[in-house]
Amino acid sequence: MLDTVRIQLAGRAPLQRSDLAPDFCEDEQSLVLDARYLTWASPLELAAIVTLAVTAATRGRQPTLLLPHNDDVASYMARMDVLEHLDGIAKIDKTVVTQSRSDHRSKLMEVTGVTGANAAAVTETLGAMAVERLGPRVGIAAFKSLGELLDNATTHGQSDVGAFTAAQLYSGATSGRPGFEFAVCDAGVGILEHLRTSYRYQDLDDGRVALERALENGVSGTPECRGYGLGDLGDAVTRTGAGRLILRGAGAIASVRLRGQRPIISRSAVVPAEGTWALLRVKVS
Amino acid sequence: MTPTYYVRSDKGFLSTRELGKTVLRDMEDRVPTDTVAVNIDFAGIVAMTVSFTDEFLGQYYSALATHGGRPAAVALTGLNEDVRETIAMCLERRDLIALEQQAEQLTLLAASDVLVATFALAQELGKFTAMTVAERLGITAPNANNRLKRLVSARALAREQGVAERGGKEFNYFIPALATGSRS
Repeated sequence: MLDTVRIQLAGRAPLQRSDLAPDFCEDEQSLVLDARYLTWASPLELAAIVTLAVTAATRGRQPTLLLPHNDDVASYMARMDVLEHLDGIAKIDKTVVTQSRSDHRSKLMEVTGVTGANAAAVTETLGAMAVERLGPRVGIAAFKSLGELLDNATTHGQSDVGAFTAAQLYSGATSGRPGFEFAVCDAGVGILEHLRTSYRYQDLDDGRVALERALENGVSGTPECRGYGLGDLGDAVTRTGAGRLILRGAGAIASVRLRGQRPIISRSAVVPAEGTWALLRVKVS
Repeated sequence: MTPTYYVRSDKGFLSTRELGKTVLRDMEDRVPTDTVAVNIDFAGIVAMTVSFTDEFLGQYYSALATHGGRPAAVALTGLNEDVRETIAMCLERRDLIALEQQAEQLTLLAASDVLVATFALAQELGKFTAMTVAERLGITAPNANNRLKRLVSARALAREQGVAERGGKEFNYFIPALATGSRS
């Protein structure tokens, strides 16, 4: 059976692109996360690397992480606890010299495992961070959006692997783009399969369409009065200015520019992962 | 004294459906089942997600609308602008309304202009019948009854059975007393 053996993460924030191309072969025993040419890691890369490695290990495969040649990026991954999560479950090709850790709780959240038991507490911490650094209007909008994403990841996206989240506030000094980025990755059934549990979407078979539907108000696989989570997300952030939501899963990637009319742009993408990955970026002017 | 249920969190941010269910269960456990009126206080809450609010207040007000009985009056207090907006959004989606109390001022949340006008009249009248509302607003008695029924379901209005002028039964409606009091 063909399966993914190597995922190359190169350049700047590669998981926000649709052209991520894994290598396939008949070896189901290993998974190599090749981050040697990674030049910038957003919260999505950090959370996804951990989720991929933990998923592989849980499924009986041996994950290996090839760390970035760029020492700053490698150190950042260590600082954000990527290596700590992989300790004992993945081979890591080299040692990273870590510096003493300063308290940056108001600017970042290291990669954190999220479950139904701690999702509310994690969301609250992120909400306080967002409001403190972004101000009440933008911060509350960001809180509401990431709150829905985390809730989805730990309910609809529930699995034996769990979900992982990370967040970072950027001053703009290095990236040139001040803002707040939040990511959550789960290894659940995925949006397409979740929607198919509803009779209204049981014939849905296109991942792109599934992601687009999920971003509309009132769409859900659940029978109760739900389905407003991801639709609300865009509305909340749109009212405060600009941002972007990227959803990856079901063989597709969807990007919603959170401003004005909110056109949803979706593309097919080879996604070597179970579940759903989400990145929320809120711009700060 | 009207019991008050205080909705609280460490940093003022409430999220997840699971927590919404937990808070609802906690409120139902703490507020005596025979209480006539209850206040739900949100002072200190900075923001709530839609999902949390729907699982907490959406479910609560849905149950109130379906079942008669106590409490006869429910008021939300301590709402900031964002919390008010989130609650109104959730209630609108379920076609429900709620009563907010700010000091002595009572306001309906997620209510149509028609219900707002009816409630304003109710506050002016004190104790009244559906017929009085129909006459004052120039609407039919059934229409008045429907509006008052919605306000009673939302626990914004209370009613007690009385005797009609020509005999028979009729309801007397009134705004319930919602003074803050004991903590639940």
